Amino acid sequence: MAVDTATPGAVLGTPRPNTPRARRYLAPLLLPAVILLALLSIYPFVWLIYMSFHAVGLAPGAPSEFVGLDNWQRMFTDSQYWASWGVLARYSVVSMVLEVGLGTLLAILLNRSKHEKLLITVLLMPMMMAPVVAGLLWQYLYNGTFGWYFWGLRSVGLLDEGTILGSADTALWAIVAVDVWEWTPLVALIVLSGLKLVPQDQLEASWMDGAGPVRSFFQVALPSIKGSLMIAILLRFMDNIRIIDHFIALTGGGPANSTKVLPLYLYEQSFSFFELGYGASIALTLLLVTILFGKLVVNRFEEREPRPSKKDEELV
Amino acid sequence: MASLTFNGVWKRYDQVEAVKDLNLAVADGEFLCLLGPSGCGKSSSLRMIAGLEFISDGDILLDDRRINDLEPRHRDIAMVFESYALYPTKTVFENMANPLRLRKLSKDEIDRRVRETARILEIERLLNRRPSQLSGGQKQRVAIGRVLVREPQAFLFDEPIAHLDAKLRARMRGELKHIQKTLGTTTVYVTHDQLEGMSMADRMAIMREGVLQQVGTPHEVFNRPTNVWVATFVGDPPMNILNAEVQAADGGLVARAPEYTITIPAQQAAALSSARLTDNKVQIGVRPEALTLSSVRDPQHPIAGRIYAVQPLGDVEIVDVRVGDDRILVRTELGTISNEDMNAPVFLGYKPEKLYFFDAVSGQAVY
Repeated sequence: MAVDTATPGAVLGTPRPNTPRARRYLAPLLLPAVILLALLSIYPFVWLIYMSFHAVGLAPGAPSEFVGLDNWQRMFTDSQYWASWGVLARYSVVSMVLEVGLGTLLAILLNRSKHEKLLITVLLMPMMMAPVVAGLLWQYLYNGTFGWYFWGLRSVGLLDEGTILGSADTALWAIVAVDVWEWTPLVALIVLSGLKLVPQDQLEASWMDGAGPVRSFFQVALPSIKGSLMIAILLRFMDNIRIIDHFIALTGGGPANSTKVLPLYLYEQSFSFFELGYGASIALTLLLVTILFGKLVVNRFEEREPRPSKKDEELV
Repeated sequence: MASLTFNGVWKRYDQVEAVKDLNLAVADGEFLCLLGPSGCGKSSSLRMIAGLEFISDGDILLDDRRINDLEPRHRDIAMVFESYALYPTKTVFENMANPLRLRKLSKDEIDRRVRETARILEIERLLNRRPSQLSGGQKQRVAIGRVLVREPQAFLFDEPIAHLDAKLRARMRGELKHIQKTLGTTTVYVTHDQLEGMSMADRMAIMREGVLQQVGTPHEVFNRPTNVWVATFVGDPPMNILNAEVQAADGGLVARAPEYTITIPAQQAAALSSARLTDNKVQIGVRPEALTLSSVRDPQHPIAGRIYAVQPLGDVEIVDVRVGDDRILVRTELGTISNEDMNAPVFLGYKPEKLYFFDAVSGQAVY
């Protein structure tokens, strides 16, 4: 296949992308959007950093007092801060693993099934619900007086005493279940789109080589849906690490802080105790972890094979 | 190694009948070429042997075993794909080792077989590369290597060299034939290029619109085509077809058109009179190399025509001549005719024993 085809832009007289001339031409066009984005995201970000070094004054006109690294220092000795990280890690890792695992399985089952389109529509419905609404819905299901799931678990003897959301052993996993219910379909949809791109000839070649369905999945399908999986993992992780809706709707962090994930703790510090400076510090650490993880995934995603070297092309 | 048999095989896709009642036997060790234009059902037939398509009706036997319901991996048949279908994430070595690993061969045995095959195919230097680092010809060798390492019951080739350039194709034809003869593995080779079939196959099976037209050695198919379609499909440039009417004359038969009258040889005249042609219409087939040209009319060159175009090919040239409304290609030595201008008059000669006669309506050859 010829790679050296003319770009459509060349026909219209615009320069080819990624040349200095193109960048000079394209930069002014992007400027308004860049300015808007800067106002919307960079300004608050800078303000956040500023707050994390101050005891923020709350009354109108009250000055913020510079406290240096006090907020940051406090974080290291705050046992609830670290406990919240622990809860958040358990919550987001388990949800993500379940969502990606189940979503992939679901996508494989859906792929080329008879009523694929209808089933996708049905499956996507939980996703369209606002997280708070989903939380309230599940609160009814978990309810210790009339909740179906509560009743069901009690009936089969899986829950001996207490309620689902009322005991520290089960509350977090109950919220994981809500997230899995709500977001597994999205992962399934993303993976399904990846499965559509699995090269049929390679699949057939692996069957001819003697591979069964499981082997050919790992050998051919998995490498080609790797990109989709990475996107799904990235999306779900970034969503889960800043989750707050389900926790507020279902447990409010209890019982006994067993579901107090970091975003909830940060929310409490900032808006219940009005420790805005400390809240800002916590927010920055959360942001840092999110960025680092995102970068990690994106790097994996962008891993490319080495380009063919020219000198070896001659043979045959 | 094994024989392959199609017993009344049909392939239907919803409305379309891709393969219609195919009966064909491939002998043990034979190189059979399935030949036909695109959409003729040759690929569907091949994929049914592989197990990649369901068989709508009929049976396919490997030796005496019915393999209709066997999964591809249990058939012990290896296939080379038109697109090569190499695994992009694996190295050349791993691509070739894959079928052996799936058969749980020992590490040493895998290593030995892959290196041995790589040596035969001259791709030893490439074993650590990935497919994206290979040229088309190299990829094709690796794809062939992946089936050669296996020593299967049969090889299936689906247009394996269609995407190579002409020079490399000619070389690969020879190599593939040599490898097949050396290993003696039963081979079914699908192609749309009659040259590949002619040059490599022990026998050719020619298909058209799902129906098998003729099976035979390249020699048989070339020299005794069963119908006008096969006759024009095999051979390059293709056989010329002239439309004429059969008439009785001097106790024999002649084929007459406004521009010429051809006396039909006695044997074929007898066959033609018993063939009961519709309206006495006949098609006369003559290969470009069986015709001669002259710039002057003489008893050996009775048919008058005009030059349409001349295609020189080094030592020979293809002369495109118009006789009435029929277009005729003549393959001749360079410099046979003095005036090669467009529309210059030219005279065609033929050997009566080199003529083919076809029923103009059914297309069937009359011998």
